[in-house]
Amino acid sequence: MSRWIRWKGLLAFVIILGVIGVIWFFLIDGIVERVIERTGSRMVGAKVELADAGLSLFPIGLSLRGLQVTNPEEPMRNAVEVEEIGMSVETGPLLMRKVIIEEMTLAGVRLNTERTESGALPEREERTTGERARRLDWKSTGLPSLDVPDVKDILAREELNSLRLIESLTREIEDQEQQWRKRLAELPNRAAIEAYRARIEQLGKGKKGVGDILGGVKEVEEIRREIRRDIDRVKDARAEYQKAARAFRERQAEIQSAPREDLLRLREKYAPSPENIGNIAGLLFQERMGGWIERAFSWYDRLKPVVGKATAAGEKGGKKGETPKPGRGTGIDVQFREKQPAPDFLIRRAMASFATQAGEMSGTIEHITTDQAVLGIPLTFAFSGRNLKDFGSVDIEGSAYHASGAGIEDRVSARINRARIGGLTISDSPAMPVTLREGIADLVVDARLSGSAIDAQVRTDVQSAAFATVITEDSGRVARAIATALSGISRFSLIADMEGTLDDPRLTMRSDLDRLLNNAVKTLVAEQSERVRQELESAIKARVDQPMRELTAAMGDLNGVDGEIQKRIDMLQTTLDDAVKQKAGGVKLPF
Amino acid sequence: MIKTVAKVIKIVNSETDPAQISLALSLSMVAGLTPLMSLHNLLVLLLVLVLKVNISTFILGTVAFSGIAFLLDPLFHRIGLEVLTIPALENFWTILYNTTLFRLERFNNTILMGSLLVAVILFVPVTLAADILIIRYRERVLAWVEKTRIMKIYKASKYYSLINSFSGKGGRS
Repeated sequence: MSRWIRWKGLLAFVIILGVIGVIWFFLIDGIVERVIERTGSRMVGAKVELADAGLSLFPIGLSLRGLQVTNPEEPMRNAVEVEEIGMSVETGPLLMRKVIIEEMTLAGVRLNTERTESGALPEREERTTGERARRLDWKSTGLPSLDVPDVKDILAREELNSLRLIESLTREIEDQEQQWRKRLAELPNRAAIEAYRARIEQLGKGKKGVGDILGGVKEVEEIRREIRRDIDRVKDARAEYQKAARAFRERQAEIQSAPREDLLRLREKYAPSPENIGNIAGLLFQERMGGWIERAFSWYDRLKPVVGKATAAGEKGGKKGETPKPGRGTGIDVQFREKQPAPDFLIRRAMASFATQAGEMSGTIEHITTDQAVLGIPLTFAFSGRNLKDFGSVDIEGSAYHASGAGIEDRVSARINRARIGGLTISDSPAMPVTLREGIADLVVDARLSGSAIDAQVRTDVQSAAFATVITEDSGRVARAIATALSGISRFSLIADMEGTLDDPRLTMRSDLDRLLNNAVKTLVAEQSERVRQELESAIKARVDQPMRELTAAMGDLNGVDGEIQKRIDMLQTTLDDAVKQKAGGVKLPF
Repeated sequence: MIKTVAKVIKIVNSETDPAQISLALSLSMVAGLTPLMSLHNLLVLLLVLVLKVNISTFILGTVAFSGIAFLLDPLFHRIGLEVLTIPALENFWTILYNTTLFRLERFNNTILMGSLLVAVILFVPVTLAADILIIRYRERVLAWVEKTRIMKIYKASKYYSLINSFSGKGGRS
């Protein structure tokens, strides 16, 4: 046995374990510190720094000191700085590789502090689980302009439909009139009618005997048939003519309204209209509100990984056929059913008090885990502050749940009372810079994200408001009118509604400023619009008058054809009547 | 590199029992192929220290097998995944998954399972094969090499003295 057993090895084993333990004891704090800094930096996209980490074994716990989380949008400032974080870890779950922290306390939390050096990462990665490349444009379209181009320029570049229709119809009518004149030449004319009369008269002379009389009757009958045939021909031609003439008259009637339609179209296009002013309050506040919303989205994207992906309960990687690609040398952990399911990482309750420029706020966050599907409870948070500098009170609460089959269910509500505003830039547009110089605001925010659908409302009521605007010589009439209206405002409310999705949010804003500002501008707009209308009307009338007269004249010429046709019908009819009355050789015919 | 080669030659040529070398080699295979910071490697360390195996062989072997493991990781992952997802064994793995030792050992990790399985399966064959090879080497190759003119010249050279001084004196570890 002694050939194979080295009893001193047992002692060596214990000593080695002891050395490993001591080394671990001395190194573990540094390892924890580096892991937190590396993981945190990756999540935030900017430097996360920790001054010191301390792991304790009895009881198992961790304390962190001097945590600084850089604001990725402002690398020279920290988004949050925490003096001390203390937490105790439950031992039992730790043996099952589950980190369950019963309670975590954060002390000395400060927001938006200055850094001594930049916290930007050397290469900022595009994080696939976080920030999305959102392309939103909150740029305001600017205030409505009252500038209108000269009417001559408008008519030079715009085609008048009425003119085109009039000229076209006039040409058609003239062509038709020509054709009808030719047609008239083919119809029985005066010469033909005179010929009939001559024949009829000829029949009346020198008929003495019965044979002559009977022959005369036959001749008259023949003449009558011919005349009737001619009458029918002319009547058919007349019917055709009347149909064509009716169509032209209808088109002529329609064309009467064409100049008015041109006027309406051009006015719509070029003249400012009171209906098209739009929401001026929205135009003023849109960029500022859009900027805040973008910042909120940005931080939401960064914090979302903390809550984990929305998956069905229990669904994790590792099953055959659904395996994610393993990291080099790390493999993947195949999950099996647990007797007592618990998340791999959970902070049951974190309590924080933090200092802002306005004062102290405190609150709790509960059920922080990336395995919400296993825990089955949403993350909830509630923060409040009282008697803050420049704020009456602040209350923020909400929840986030990313595990149900439906996906994401996030909610946040905030109430800020009596917030003192000073020098808040509303619009920095060169055309109309507006600042809310002072005011006292009450703010209510209610936002909900369900799946990818957003439903949010921000309501602000401002009292003791004082606006400041900058009017220069180049300022337009609209800007001046708005500035005048704003100067008289001491209270207003603004409601911003957001719907849509995270990738395509739609923001609408309404305010009781709308009526006041729109009224200020409407009068100006209405005056300008009426002036443009009158000028356009005169110009269009001048253009279409002469062509319209020509059209009327052409129609008159065409009507003349009708008169000629009617005359021929009358003459033929008279001739026919005479033929009927004709005595053959002085004998009255019984028909 | 020279120092490493010298060490290997010294071990094989030494008067250490071949079984001690081959067992050390097999234990180093377990430690080298599997993730180093695994719970079972504490058992391996205990065995290496308590059993009279050649520690130098164990250390060199662990380094060598760690390099081999880096190349074979994808294979180990596939083997581990296949084994861990066999439907007939699901209940068994579930029971183990709910025990503390299993979870601390991370048996459910595909690379650990695959590499440990391969190491355990190859343990006995490697031990036996190494044992036979060392005996054969000493009986035939070493004896022949010792007799060659080149070896005699080599042993007489300063280079040999230098290597000997690096390897230390004596053949037992």
